[in-house]
Amino acid sequence: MRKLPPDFNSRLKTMVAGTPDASLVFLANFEVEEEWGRGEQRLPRFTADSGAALVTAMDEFAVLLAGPDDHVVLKGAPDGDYLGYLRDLGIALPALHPAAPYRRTATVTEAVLADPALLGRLADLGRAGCRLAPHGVSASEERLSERTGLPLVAPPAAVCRAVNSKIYSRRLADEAGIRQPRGWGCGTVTERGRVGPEAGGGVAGGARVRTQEAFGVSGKGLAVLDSRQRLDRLHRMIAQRARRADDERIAFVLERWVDKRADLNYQCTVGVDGAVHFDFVKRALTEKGVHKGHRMPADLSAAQHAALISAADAIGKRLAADGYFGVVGVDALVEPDGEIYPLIEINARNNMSTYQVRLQERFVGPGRWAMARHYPLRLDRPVGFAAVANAAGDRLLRHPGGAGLLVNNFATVNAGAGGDGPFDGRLYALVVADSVEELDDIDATIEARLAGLKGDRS
Amino acid sequence: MAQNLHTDAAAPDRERVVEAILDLLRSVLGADASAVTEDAKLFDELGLDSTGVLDLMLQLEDALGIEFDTDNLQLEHFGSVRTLADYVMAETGE
Repeated sequence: MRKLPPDFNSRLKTMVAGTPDASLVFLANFEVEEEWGRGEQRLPRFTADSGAALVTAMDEFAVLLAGPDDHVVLKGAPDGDYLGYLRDLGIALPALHPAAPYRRTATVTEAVLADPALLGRLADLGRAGCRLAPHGVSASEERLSERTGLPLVAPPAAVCRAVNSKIYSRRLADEAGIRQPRGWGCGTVTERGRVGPEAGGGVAGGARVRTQEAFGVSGKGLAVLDSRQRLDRLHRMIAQRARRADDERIAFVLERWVDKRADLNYQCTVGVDGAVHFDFVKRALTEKGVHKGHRMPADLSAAQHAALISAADAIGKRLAADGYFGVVGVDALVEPDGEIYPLIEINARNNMSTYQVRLQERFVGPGRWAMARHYPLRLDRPVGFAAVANAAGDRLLRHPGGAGLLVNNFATVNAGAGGDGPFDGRLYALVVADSVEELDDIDATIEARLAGLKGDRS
Repeated sequence: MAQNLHTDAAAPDRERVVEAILDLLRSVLGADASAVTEDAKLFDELGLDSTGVLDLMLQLEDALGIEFDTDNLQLEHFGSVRTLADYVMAETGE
């Protein structure tokens, strides 16, 4: 096997584009699952307009995945002070191409497709040999590729959609002999009805059952129920919706809930040649049962680590055999006794963690600790990066080797602005430190300092 | 329109609906009893999230013996205890 470059950006290019010198146009279309799941029966969903504005502003993460020879298309121009901060840290930034006008709730792909001037510039990049690297590929990104002539460094949308189904993931685990919680994939209403009694059988004994859309966004489109009555009701709800659509077809998985000590997220990259590279593993942090972020290193035993690497290899090989190449994120969990379930869910696309790798390489390094999280903000008015930096004060990370807050997306802070009254924002960041204790201390300080932030007065 | 599963029972009165919602919020969200008023904001103040909405809805159906028409449910209905109670009353035809 050929030797791969140690840094993620060059390695990714080598594996998906055949050369570390490829110039890529990155596009972080988060929640591409919304496109993959279009037309599928869904659980009732309640999403605020501000939620869409915030999720689509996650496109700015791509700025820190791309290298200086790459390009990034964005919904809007990043905060100038934020870019200055990144440059002062010594980060060589890619060329940025914001769409115009700013469309608050549009996805980045929709925003770019609606900007003829930007499409023209991207076509120039296509003629210059650049290639398009989306977060995940749906029909919209294929359309963008066609309109601009930028070839995709990814498999077709149909392949990406198929391998991201949670039914596919369960089947893969069974066929590869990877241990997974008891569960059932349901492709029709009849099938869901047939597995219902068995799936709900343990509920009386205190078990919980997770019902999840096969094409749902991670953490959404699911219900965890501990009542047979409510499980049956959910089935009737799904059946009713299918009946109204006059289509028996559904795509859900039912799974027995398993107790856990920790959630894990690991990533591997599958090359166009079928090679599989294990990239990293992170441990999810929860606070009072609510997901808070990820901590790295994951603090696993050698045996636990080996179990994940072995599963990643099997998953990657099967994905390659089914026509997929690119980044793959996998959710796993550690049981209370330390045993591992190495495959809970496959996300064959970029993951939030993918966008943190370059920062880790530069600012975390061996022997250090980092926590990736977001700080929820409630703002009266939009706030500039300078005000956030001021609030963080001496806890803002200012140089490689330093400790503190390292902001990795600022667009999500003000994305919710534009309506009447206060709005919710998120400040995504890595907190870097030399010990877990220092990590927790910096995190608590930052949380307290940001709590006083209300927005710029102008 | 919600379907009343207790065919021999009258539609729930508002007081009962509000009480059922308050009880659920305390048990489902672990909300502090004193913090749960009719005007408490479910998402901002009581920590409801998009996944919790479905769970809350299913448990509310259980508690009141009704089934909502989920096509009519909007996020705004889960703004506060008051908006949710108003929705339930409108759906049950009271």
